[in-house]
Amino acid sequence: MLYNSINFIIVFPILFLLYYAIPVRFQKGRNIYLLLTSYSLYIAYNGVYALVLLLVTVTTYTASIFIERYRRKQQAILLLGGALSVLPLLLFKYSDFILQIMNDLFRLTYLNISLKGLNWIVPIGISFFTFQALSYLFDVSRKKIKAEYDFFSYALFVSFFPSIVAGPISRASYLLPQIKKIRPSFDYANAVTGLRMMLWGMFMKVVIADRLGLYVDKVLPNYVNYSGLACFEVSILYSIQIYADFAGYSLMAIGVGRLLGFDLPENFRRPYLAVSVTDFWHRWHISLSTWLKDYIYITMGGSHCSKLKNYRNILVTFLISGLWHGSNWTFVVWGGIHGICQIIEKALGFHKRESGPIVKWLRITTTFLIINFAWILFKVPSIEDYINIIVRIFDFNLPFIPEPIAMLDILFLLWIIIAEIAKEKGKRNIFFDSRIPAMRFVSYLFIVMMILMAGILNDSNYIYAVF
Amino acid sequence: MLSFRKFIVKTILIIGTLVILDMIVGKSIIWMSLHAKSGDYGKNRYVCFQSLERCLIFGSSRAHYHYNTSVIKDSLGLSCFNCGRDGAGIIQNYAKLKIIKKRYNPKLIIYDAFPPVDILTHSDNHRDLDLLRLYADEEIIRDIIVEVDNSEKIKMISNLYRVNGKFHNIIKDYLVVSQLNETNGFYANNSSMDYLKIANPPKYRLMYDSLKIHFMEEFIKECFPAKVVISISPIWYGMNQDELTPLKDLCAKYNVALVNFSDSPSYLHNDKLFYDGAHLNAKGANYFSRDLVKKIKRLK
Repeated sequence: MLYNSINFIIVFPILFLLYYAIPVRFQKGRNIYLLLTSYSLYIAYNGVYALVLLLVTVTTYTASIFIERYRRKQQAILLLGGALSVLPLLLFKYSDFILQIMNDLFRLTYLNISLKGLNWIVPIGISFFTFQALSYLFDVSRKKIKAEYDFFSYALFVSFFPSIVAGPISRASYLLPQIKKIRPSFDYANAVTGLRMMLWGMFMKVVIADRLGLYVDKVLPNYVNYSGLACFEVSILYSIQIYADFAGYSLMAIGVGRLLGFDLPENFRRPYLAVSVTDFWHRWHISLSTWLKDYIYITMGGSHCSKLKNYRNILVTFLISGLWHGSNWTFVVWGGIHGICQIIEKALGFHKRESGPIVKWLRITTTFLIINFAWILFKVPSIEDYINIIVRIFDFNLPFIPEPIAMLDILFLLWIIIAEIAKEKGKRNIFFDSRIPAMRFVSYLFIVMMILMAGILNDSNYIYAVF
Repeated sequence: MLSFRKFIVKTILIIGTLVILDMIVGKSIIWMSLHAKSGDYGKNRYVCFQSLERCLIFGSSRAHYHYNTSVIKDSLGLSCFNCGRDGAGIIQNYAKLKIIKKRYNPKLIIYDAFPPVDILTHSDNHRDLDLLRLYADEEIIRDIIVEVDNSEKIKMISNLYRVNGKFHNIIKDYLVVSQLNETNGFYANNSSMDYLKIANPPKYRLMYDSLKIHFMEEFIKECFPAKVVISISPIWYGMNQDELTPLKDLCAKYNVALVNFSDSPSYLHNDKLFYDGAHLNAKGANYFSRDLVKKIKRLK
């Protein structure tokens, strides 16, 4: 369910009240209710693709039990279970890309074969719930956790509606115990925090991200009609848009989880204040980067090998990260850029260096610019377009004409930048966290009014939801 | 249980306060838009509730910049107002015409049609609702909005939503009396050609929007008994003439004049007359307005 939709605003309060109408002693009943809700919402969004969700759930559930029972045949079961779980993801998301590569190869070898793409709609959240289920399977095989025999609890873990669309990707060791334990009847402080997160997340999405999207969608697809300065300016807006969109969604997901008494993992930690690309990946989409680190990077050997092998491991991990985001060479190149930057940082020891305040801000700016230029790959259909935009940005023969930005949007941008810097410095939010109840009250009202008066309220999708 | 009750009570309190603020602040800003003294909202207020000109020109930014009201007035001997508004499509223009027709019947209505906003699926119809939500207290306007998107019925319960995205401009147009560089709604753009803007002509998918075509038909019907002229003003890029097929059919059906300058050789790729690929500059607007009135005079 899209959190910025009118359906959510109408349906969620009802879901919330019904949930808490179930007495605490009927914990299983509450979980079944959440499971039915998760599947109902998924079916409402994606109909028959709920079967894909069920398939991945049943496959990983069964495989994990078999792994635990037949440890000697663990590798074979893991391979089979993993392959079956990943198959829908490969088919829906990557089949057209694979066919395109094959067609390109046929063309290069002058073979007169052209394979037709499947053009299937990708089930929403497939990358997220597949990875979430796989992490459970891998953890059982590594004996980090015991296999879950309660199918309903496990099914809820995979399909948990607050985070199924775009994460955060939870680990079974983190979320399953919360599902299985007796949760308190209602935690007031948690619920208030949850509601605040939802409010701020919604603000980030519909006011910051979607408003900036208007400039981005106007300029980047038509970059030949705009100056290099306008392209650069809008690339920065896109960087902020993608952050506000994704972090806003994550905040709302975590907030909904809190309202229901669940603690979902933090997914963003002021990523654009990172001092290196390595540091960026400790702050951006934390649940994915830790997944890749634990199940790809460390499995390949991590840093417990020669330097060259370590660099290879970093590059492969980030190429996979790129592919996870999308089935196009642009995403592979994006992953490659991030991988190469981290290799360079590691080789030169940058990621470990401490700096004084001026050098620190220089590092933050440089890191931001690298990340910024890489993000353009997410918005263009081909590498050729990406190169053209980069060339355009650095073509100083073009007129120096910026894209006008409305004063209101500049104010919103300043607001979010100041909020991020204040949070990084550990400052308390003087509005939301004020000790004066009236100040908090007014803050909540002001944010809601800004959402209604300045937000783009047309049920737009989330950028990361398409991954 | 107590904490849950406390949470619900506080949430209801916040929602209740929000409802009151929504009414006070939202309605105040809507009132300001209906009493704006200048700017875009001042112009729209005039067009919808005060205009009495005999000749009205409707359309998007192309209407706004292309039709010199002084030239039209001098040539045709009719008072003239240019109701063109940037980004306005047929749905918005139809709604404005409905409000105007409650007050009086103009003698001549010129509609500057541009397929991407008036016929094709290219532009989002919700853009047109932006201004119309301010006038949603009029039942005819509310009906038009709901016809475009049924969910607006629920969304427009909030008065703050109705001023979404434009509250700051409304307040500015109400408080600040600024002189728009316009003559009876016509804006003369004195810029010269921006060559960046014509580097890559836009390509529009030839997919007709049935809702837009429906409103175009309603617009034509609403114009009567006034004389109606559907005008396709010049465009530097030229135009795929297939885009005009539904318009030509409608004009033939209702015996309405269609004046097409989009393939006129004197305008195609003429840098001196345009400031970008789709908009005439002041010189171009003067030439075009004179050419247009010559054609209108020849119409029966």
